[in-house]
Amino acid sequence: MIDQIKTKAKELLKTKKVDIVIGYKKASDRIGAIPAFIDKEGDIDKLIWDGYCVYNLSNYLKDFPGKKIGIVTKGCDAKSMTVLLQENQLKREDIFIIGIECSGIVDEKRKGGDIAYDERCKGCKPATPPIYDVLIKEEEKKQAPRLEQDPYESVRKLETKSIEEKFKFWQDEFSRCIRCYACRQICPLCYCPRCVAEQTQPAWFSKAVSVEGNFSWNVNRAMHLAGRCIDCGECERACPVGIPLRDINKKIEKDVKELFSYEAGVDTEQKPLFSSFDKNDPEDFIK
Amino acid sequence: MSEWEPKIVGFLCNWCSYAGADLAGTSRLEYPPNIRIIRLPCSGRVNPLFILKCLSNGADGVLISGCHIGDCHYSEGNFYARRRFAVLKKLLEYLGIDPRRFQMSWVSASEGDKWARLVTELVEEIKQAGPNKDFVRKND
Amino acid sequence: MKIGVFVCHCGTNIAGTVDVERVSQAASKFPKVKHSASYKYMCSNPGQNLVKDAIKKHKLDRIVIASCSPSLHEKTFRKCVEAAGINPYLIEMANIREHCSWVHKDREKATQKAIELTRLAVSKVSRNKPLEKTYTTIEKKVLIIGGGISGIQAAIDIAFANYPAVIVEREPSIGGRMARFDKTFPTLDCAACILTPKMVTVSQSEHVTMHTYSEIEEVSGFVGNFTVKIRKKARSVDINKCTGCGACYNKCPVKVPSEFDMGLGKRKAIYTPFPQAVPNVPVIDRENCLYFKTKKCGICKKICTVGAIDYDMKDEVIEEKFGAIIVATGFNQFDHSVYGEYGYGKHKDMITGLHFERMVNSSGPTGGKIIRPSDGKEVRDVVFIQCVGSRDEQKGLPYCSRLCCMYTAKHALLLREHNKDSQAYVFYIDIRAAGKNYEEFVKKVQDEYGAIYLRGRVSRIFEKGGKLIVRGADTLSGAQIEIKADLVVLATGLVAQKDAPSLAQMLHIPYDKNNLFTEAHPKLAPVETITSGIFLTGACQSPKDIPDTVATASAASVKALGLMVQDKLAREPLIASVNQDLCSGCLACLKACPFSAIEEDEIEDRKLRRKRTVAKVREAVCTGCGNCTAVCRMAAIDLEGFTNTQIMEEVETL
Repeated sequence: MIDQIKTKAKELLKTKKVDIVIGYKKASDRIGAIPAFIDKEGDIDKLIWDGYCVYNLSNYLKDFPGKKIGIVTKGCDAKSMTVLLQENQLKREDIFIIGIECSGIVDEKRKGGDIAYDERCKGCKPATPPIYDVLIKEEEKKQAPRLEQDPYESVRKLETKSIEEKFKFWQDEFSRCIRCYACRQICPLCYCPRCVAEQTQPAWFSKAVSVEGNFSWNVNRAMHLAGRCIDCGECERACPVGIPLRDINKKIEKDVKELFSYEAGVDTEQKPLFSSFDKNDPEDFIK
Repeated sequence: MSEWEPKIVGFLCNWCSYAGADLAGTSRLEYPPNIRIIRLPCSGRVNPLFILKCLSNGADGVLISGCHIGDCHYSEGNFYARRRFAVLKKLLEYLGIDPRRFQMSWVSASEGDKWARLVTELVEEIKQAGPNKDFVRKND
Repeated sequence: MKIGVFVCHCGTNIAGTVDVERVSQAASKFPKVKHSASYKYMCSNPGQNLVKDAIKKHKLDRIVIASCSPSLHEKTFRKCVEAAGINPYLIEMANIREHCSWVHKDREKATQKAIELTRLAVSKVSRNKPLEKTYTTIEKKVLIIGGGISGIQAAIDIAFANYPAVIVEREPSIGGRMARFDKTFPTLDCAACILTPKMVTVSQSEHVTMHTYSEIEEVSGFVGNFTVKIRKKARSVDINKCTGCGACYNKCPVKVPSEFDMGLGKRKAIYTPFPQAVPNVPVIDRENCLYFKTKKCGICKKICTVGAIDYDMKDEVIEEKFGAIIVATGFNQFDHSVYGEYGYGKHKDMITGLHFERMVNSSGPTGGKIIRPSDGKEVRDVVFIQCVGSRDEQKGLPYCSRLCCMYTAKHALLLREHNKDSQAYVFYIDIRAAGKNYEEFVKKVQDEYGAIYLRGRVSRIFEKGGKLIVRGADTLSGAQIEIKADLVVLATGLVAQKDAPSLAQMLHIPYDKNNLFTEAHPKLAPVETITSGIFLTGACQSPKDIPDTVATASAASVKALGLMVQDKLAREPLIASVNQDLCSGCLACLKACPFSAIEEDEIEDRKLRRKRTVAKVREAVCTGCGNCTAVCRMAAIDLEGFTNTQIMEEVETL
């Protein structure tokens, strides 16, 4: 299937349909995969495809303003492009999506070991991108058949804890936060010209590493992704102190699905979660 | 502990809830003095960050109050607020914030009695929840 | 920055519970406060002068008034400080009366709270910015939707002031419901006699344009500058050529039930709804016209000497600009088929009040004879049933339709006038005759015209021996009643037009659960809507009789004219604005704006060296609700008067 990707990439560059192709190439450790930016036909052979192609490449789209881009895109990553299109951050005609119906990527934390599917791949089926210009299917990997699994297992587990336990759990997690904002930098949907975390008039929350500052930042990040996060998992991967950010993102994802039947990244014409409402939205929490 | 009195912030829409609180005054309905009202045009004006700021600033409770559904002066503002804060409320609880600390209500301009009752109950609930020490650094 | 704080005693209203002096002293120590004072009545002239003098003496540049609710006196104090040379938006009020002294008894706690509320106001005002009112132009033309008595009166009033009015009426003629009535309560003027002259006035006025057989298709814009698309349905008759001679409909071979006569009479396929129609130009009902059905016939075209018939005429959509819109779309009749016990549809000799109006009308389908539709015989015993639909939450409407008591009384009177031997029986729940000479009228119908009023509901109606047997209870005597009636007349309630919600959505005006349009305030703004520049009149807002309808029409006209006479329209500056450098162009705000007050804009991004899309507020449309600010993740859009900085400062102070 890598041949299919290469053939398409070559054709796109040759016909000048795109100026650049964003895909994956081998990292220097010879195991992992890193982004590849290919603008010459001669470099096309660097392209690879395997279970280590973890990164969500859509984050790089904004780095090439005014250029036509071909991009290798997994099902989940295409959802973030859907959101970017929905939010006017991309022009559909500027990108050519080489969609991959992928059969799962590895759990990066277990790099080097056997192929074990990333947690989030377990609940992802089918993995067809919601938008694409050409679709390339990957044959199912033999080792681990994907199971129909509850994608919210860990969220549900946390939900059953007492309020004190929850608070303690999250304070312990947040207390490690060093406010490096890697979660923000890596997120393809964090594109604000100037993040509220850096604004001073007003100062929305404490910039210092502090109980209240860390809490506010993490709640703010999660709320800003409500109805937008497509669970590519980049934030959690990027977090240097290992805060389980996906457990926050997934919580909101689950809630908005249950409350408003809203799902992020499935339709470019969809109105944003908070820029829309239904007259019958639940209000049992309102006095 | 008996000295402690909760501090509650209320974000009230100008047209219904603020007027409802005015009516409670005109009707001389007594309620505890623990709430500090911030007047806004609409419940739709409330940014989730305001709530975080209140809590991390030591408020023991935060209330958003707007017009009943269908009564919004701007016809739809409270619909947006309802959706926004349904999500925030669940998230805060998930992160371990006592759900009593963040509440929402619809109070119309004619519900002075509801306003007085609501604040009375709210103060009682927050008293039970105790002071908001969540954001005070502990030395344990 | 020099903030002045003025604490009001409000007689004993505040001072009775709050130690006003302590509040003033505490305030004088707040940061940036240069002066504080208290006074018995701050809103009185001496009180205001105290503020003005202090501003000059202490060179104050921002003011906090700790007194009553801003809904009472914010405007007062804005004017007051403006007179002293301070921008009127550099004041804030601390509500220490409604929210403090009136709801607390403990003097110490109330005083403490008053101090904190004042501190809050001081912190907010320290972040206030001077704001200027904005101005927009006004299109000097009023759109009136609906050409019934309501719209007609509005058009006359607008025209009288020498401003142009445009009536859009979906029927082929103006006149509306009133044109169908026979006589009007309580004076018994003939409806046509008082309506027709008004119709003629409108049609002859140089200031009024009529688009009949037309509907509103699209409304955009805002007060002073509405753009409206009007669909002029194909009439198939050239309105400029037609002389109204009537030869076409006299010769037309197709007869169908007349809507105007409630199906009691017939009309032709080319028709004017009634003889006094304005404009007196027929329309072809293409569904029933032989030419349109079979391409044969064409008699009307052959017979028309001026060549006015145009079978190829197409719908035309025109676009016009208006400064104000008056909504006068009227009402519909309640659909009483939900009352199975009355057996409507089964019994031929059961009609509604509107049918009765047509029947009793001397120019109506029966020539003024009140007859049984089943056999055409004149009636003797007639049962009128009130509150059909009205005041019945289970099956009908929760509200009282207000006019049924009166029109039923009128019908009972007219019945006796037309037939001396007749007898009217009226089943009612309550008689609601609140209006000038209304109660007297009902009394007269009972005393002088012999109408028998029975307080109670009808339980069943069935046919027996060619009569309708009406069974019910007279709750006053406790007796079960059975009346053999020749005719039963149902006083059906008034409901909103079926398409009221879609019109409301087009106009961005709210409507209630009964689909009636909602006024801006039930008492103080009964003809305004929350969309400025759009006004309501007549039964589209709530059931109204003719006097009330005419009164609201004139009221709405005054409101519209109030806009027309202005050169420019001043708008409150408390609206949203975008910091385009911070804006990512995601347009979440645009999608969340209930008023379509945000549009796309393009800026040159110097850092990226290319153009990019950002949001921009259409200032004249923005109502200042602030919903956009809360959905903006980058806080690029803010609301003047309630800015993020102001609110965060308030929270910080807590």
